Amino acid sequence: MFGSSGHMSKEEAARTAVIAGAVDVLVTLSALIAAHSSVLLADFFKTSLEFIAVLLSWLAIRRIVSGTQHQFDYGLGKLENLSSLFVGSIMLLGMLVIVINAIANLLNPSHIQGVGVWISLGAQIVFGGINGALSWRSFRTARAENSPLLESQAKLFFTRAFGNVFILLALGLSLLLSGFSWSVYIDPAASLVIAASILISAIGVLSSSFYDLLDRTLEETDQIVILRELAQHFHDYEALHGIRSRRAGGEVFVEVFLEFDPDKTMGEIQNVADALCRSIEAQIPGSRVAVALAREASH
Amino acid sequence: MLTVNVAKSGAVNEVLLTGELDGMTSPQLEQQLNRLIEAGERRFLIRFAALTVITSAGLRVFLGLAKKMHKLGGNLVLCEMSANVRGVFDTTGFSNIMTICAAAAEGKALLEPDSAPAPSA
Repeated sequence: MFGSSGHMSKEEAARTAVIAGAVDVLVTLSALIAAHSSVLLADFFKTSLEFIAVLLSWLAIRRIVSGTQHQFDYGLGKLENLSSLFVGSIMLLGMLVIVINAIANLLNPSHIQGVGVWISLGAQIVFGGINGALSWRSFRTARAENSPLLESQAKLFFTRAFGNVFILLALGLSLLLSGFSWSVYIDPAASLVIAASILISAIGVLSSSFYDLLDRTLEETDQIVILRELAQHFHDYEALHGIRSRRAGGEVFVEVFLEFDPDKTMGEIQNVADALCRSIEAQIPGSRVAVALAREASH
Repeated sequence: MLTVNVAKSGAVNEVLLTGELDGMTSPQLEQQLNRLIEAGERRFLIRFAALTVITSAGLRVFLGLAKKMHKLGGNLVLCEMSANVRGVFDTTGFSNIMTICAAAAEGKALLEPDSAPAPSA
């Protein structure tokens, strides 16, 4: 089947992310309970929302793998984009929670304290490293497989790693500079920076997914590729009855409806169709080309 | 916006295209050409002088028309192309499978029944 191994590696990456996310949620919850800090409350909300996003992505990939083995193959890109759209929406929600907490901290500032702060400091170091590694892995796989889902995953992990570093710095500086009265504003200020980075990532994920969700025909350059190949094989078919193409996520579907000389054998027709498909697929990244046999409609 | 004017001159159908030939307007041209073919017309001279834009959808019409003429033993000649339009036909390889002339008179001469028939492809 098309791309089975690719979908399996996607599933493995997503499953690893779900496990890491679940552990992250438990640790941030422990830190929150032991510290009663508004910043850690925001971190807990952010981590939980990200975990939900990763979980949904993993479930979507599982559905895709199942579809590859049975049916629903036509529309996998759309499912990926729906997941990405949901991930983006959840990122926006997480950003809002952080902003609201930051504003509350700015209006009623207080020094952070409690064992949870130290738990969180350790957790930020560990999960910062894990999120950085997962981001790099997802980014490499997304580039190799041209997958918008993994691209959004890579952005999500990068955002999380960025958040880990900032929370680490905010907590560390708040403790180190606690002698200064203005240090109470470090946490909320750092939270707003994290919120801004999440907003930028969410807009990117939402815009690309929304754009891809709207089934659209191919760009002119790709259409020209198809026509050029049809011109090159001009004498191999009898009539051109139509071309249907659309882009769904990172995948491109092209159907060419051709009529062949009835005297041609199925083997000869298959050879022409294979050559045409191969040459178009080689020039349009992520494309799947099918040649459909067509007959002239009787008038 | 596309205007298609068809003028019959002997056995030759002169098709003058004015405006833009794109995804919106190409079905209109395709339908008009199909009606002529169904009526038994087999010689077409397509004049591009007043055509300002052509997209892949427009090119597809000519690929389909060229195949029909090839199958039915008809003749198709394209003429009066601007440098840009000619460039598109060269890029797609269409100029290798279709007869293209600079002037309409030249194309018409190729299509006249008493002249040597233009290769349809």
